[in-house]
Amino acid sequence: MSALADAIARSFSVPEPARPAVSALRALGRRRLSGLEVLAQSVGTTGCAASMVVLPTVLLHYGTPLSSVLTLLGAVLMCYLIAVGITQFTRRQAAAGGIYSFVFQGLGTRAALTSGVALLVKYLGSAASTLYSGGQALILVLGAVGIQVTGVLGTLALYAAVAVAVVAVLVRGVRFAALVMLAVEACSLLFIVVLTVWPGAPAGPVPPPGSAPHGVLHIALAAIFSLAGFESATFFGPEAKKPLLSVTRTVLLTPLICGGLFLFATWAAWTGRSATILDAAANGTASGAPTALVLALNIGLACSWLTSATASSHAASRLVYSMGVERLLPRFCVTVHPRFRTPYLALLAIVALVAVAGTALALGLAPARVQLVQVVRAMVVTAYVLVAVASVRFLYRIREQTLGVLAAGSVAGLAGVLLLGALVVVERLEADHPVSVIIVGLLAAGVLWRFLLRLRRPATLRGIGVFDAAESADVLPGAGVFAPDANGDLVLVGRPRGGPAQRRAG
Amino acid sequence: MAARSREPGGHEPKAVQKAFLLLEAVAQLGSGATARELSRLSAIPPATAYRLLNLLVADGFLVRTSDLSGFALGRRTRELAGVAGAADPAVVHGDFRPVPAIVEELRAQVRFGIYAASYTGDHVRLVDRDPDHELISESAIVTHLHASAIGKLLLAQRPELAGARPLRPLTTRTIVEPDTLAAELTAIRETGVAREVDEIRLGRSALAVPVRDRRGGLIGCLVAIGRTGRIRVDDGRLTELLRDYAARATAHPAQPAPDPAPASRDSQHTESGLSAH
Repeated sequence: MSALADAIARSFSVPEPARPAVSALRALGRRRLSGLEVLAQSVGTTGCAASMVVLPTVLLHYGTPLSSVLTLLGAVLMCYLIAVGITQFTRRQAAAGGIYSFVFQGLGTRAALTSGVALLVKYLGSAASTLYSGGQALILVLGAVGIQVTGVLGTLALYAAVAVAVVAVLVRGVRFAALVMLAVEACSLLFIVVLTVWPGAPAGPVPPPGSAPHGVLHIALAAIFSLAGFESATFFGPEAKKPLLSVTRTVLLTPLICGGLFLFATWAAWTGRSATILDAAANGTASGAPTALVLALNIGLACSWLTSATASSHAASRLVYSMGVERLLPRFCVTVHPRFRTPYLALLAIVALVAVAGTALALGLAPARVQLVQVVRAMVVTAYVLVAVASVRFLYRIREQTLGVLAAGSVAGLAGVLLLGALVVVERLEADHPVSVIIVGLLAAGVLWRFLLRLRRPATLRGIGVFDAAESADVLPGAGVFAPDANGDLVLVGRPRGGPAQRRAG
Repeated sequence: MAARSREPGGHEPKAVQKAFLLLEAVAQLGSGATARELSRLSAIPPATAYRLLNLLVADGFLVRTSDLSGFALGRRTRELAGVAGAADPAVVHGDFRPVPAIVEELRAQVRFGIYAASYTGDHVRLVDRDPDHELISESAIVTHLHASAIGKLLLAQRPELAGARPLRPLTTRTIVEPDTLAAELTAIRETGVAREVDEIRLGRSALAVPVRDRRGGLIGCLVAIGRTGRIRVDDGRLTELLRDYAARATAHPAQPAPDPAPASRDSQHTESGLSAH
C-alpha cells in the first residue's frame, strides 16, 4: 500500500489551488436527490398508472392472451437492453443533458445534435399530449363534483391553472418536484390497482380475442411507448446524491417495475377483472359504472397524466439548460433561481410551450393527437438507437469494452432500428404521409443545425458534451493534473502529455 | 466499500481487497491511468476491474478524467488514511492549545473578544474563550462552517467539509451561493485571513488568522470577534497583530495541554520550584 499511503500523506501538505476546477453544472442544486426521488422522476415520466388503463384497451383490440403476454415480455426485454446501453454512460458520468450528452461521448456532435432535437420533441410532445389528457380527465372530475368546465374560456382557464401549478412545483426545487411527483404517482397507482382488484367490483365476462390486423406490431409499439420515459432520470445526474449508482439503478429498474405493472393489468384485462374500469374509462357513467368509481378512476388518470406532463417538462428543462451552458441555446436557459437552484426561465418557457400545445389540442386547433404521438414515438426510438450505438463506440473509445455489454448494446441498437422500421411500416399501412415528412424533417434538423453552427459559430461545437466533471474538491490534493480545456475551463486530465486537454469534437 | 451494490457478489472481503489493489495501482500509475492499465497492473480480470472502478468512482474514492478514459485518486481516499498507514499530521495528535499567557497578552492590547479554535479531526472546537466577552451562538460556529470566519478558514483548507447539503442561511448576509463561497475560500487561501460580517449573527464581525504547526499544517486559528462597525475586518494593524500572536501562540499539538499558569517564565519557575520539593 506504499504508493497509496504516500499519496494520502502528501495530500495534507499540498495547498489548495488558488483557482480550483469547478463543474460547469455547478449552478444547479447539486447532490440533492435520493435514490427514491430519482426513481420518482423516471416512473413519473412513464405515467404507468394511466398506461395500466390505456394499454389493456389496445391488447383487447389487437391480441390474444398469449400474444399479449409474450409481446409485452419482448417489449420489456428490449427496453431493458436499451437501459443496459444507457447505463454504460450513467455508471461513468452525470450529465444534465442526459442521453444527448451520452450520445456525444460515443458518436460526436452530429449524432448528439440529432438526438438533442429528437429528445426535445419527444419530451415536449409527450408533455403536451399528457397535459391534454390529464386536463380532459380533470374536466370530468370537476364535472362530477358540480363544477362544469365548458367553452373556450373555461378550457383556457383550466389549462392555465394546471400550467401554473406545474411551473410552481418545478421551480420550487428539484427535490420538492420529485417528492410531489412521487406522492401523486403513488396515489394514482394505488387508485388504479385497488380499482382493478377491488372485491366489490363486478368482473366482466372473459373478453374474446381481438381480430384487428397487424396485432403483434401494434401491441409491441404500444407496450414499448408505455415504457418510454424510463430514461428521464439521466437528466438529473448532477442533482442526485450518488448519481452513478442511483441513476443507473433507476434506468434499469423502471422498465422492470412498469413491465410488472403492465403484466398485472394484462392479466386483469384478459380475466375480465378490469372490464368495469376499462369500460368506465372509455364511456364514463354511460357504461353503467357507479359514479364514485368513475370519479375515482378519473382522479387516478388525471394524477398520472399530469405527473407525466410535469416529469417530461422537468426533463426537458435540464436538457435545455445543458444546451444553454454549451451556448447552443439562448443564455436565459441557464438562469438558475438563486434560492431554489432550478433553471426557472427555461422551465417557464417549456411549460408555457407545453401548455399552449396542450390547450390547442383540447380546443381542436392543433392537428390530431394521434399524429403528435406518432412523431413522438419516432423521436424516442431515434434517441434510443443513437444511444445504444453510442454506448458501443464509447466503450471502445475509453477501452473498457467487455463482451457482455457490447452484445447488449449491439442487440439494443439493432432492435431499435427494427422498431423504427416497424414504425415506418405502420405509417405506410395507415398511409399517413404528412407524419413521415415531419419525422424525416426532424431527423434532418440536427444535421442541419450542426452544419449551420460549423458555418457560423464553429467554436460552439467544441463546447458540446458538458457534464458534471470532477472538481478540485473531489480530487485528492496533489493526485490529479488539471489543465485548461478547449474552452479555457480547468479540467482534470491524464498525465501531462503536452498541450491542452483533448476533448472530442468530432 | 460503502456502496450497497450487489455487484461484487457475495465475496465482499475479496472485493474490498481488489478495490485496494486498484487504488494502489492508480496511486502508482498517477493521474490518467486507464482501466485497462489498472486491470493489468493489479492482475484483476478486466470485467471485474471495470465494475469495481465504476463503484470506486461512484463512491468518490476515484475520479474520472475529463475525457472519461482515465482515473485519479479521489479525495475520499483520505478516509482510508488509517487503513493505508498514512496519517494526517494535524489529526493524529490532541487538540491544538495556545499558550494561555500569549493569548492573555493579546487580549490586553485589543478591545475585542479574542478566541482560539482547534481544527483537530476536521472539527472546530473553541479551546480558549475570552472571559470578558460573551460569545452567543457558539454551536452555530461549530455546525455551520460556511457562516463564520473560523469555519471558513478551515473550509479554505478542506473544502470538502462543506458537505453536499445546501448552505443554510443563518442571517441575510450568510454566504449560501456555492460559487460565492468558492470565491471567498480562494480569497482566504490567497490572503491567509478569513473575515465574517453579520454572517452568523447580525451585528457581529470577526477576523481569523491560521495557526500552523511546524510543518505548515493548519491546526487552528486565532480570532478577534466584535460588534460590526466597531471591529473593522479590513484593519491591517489588527491582522498583523493577530498573525504575530498566532505565530507565537503555537503550543505544538504533540505536547499535552500546557499548564494554565500565567506567564511562561513564571510557569518554568514554578515547575522547577515544584520539582525541587
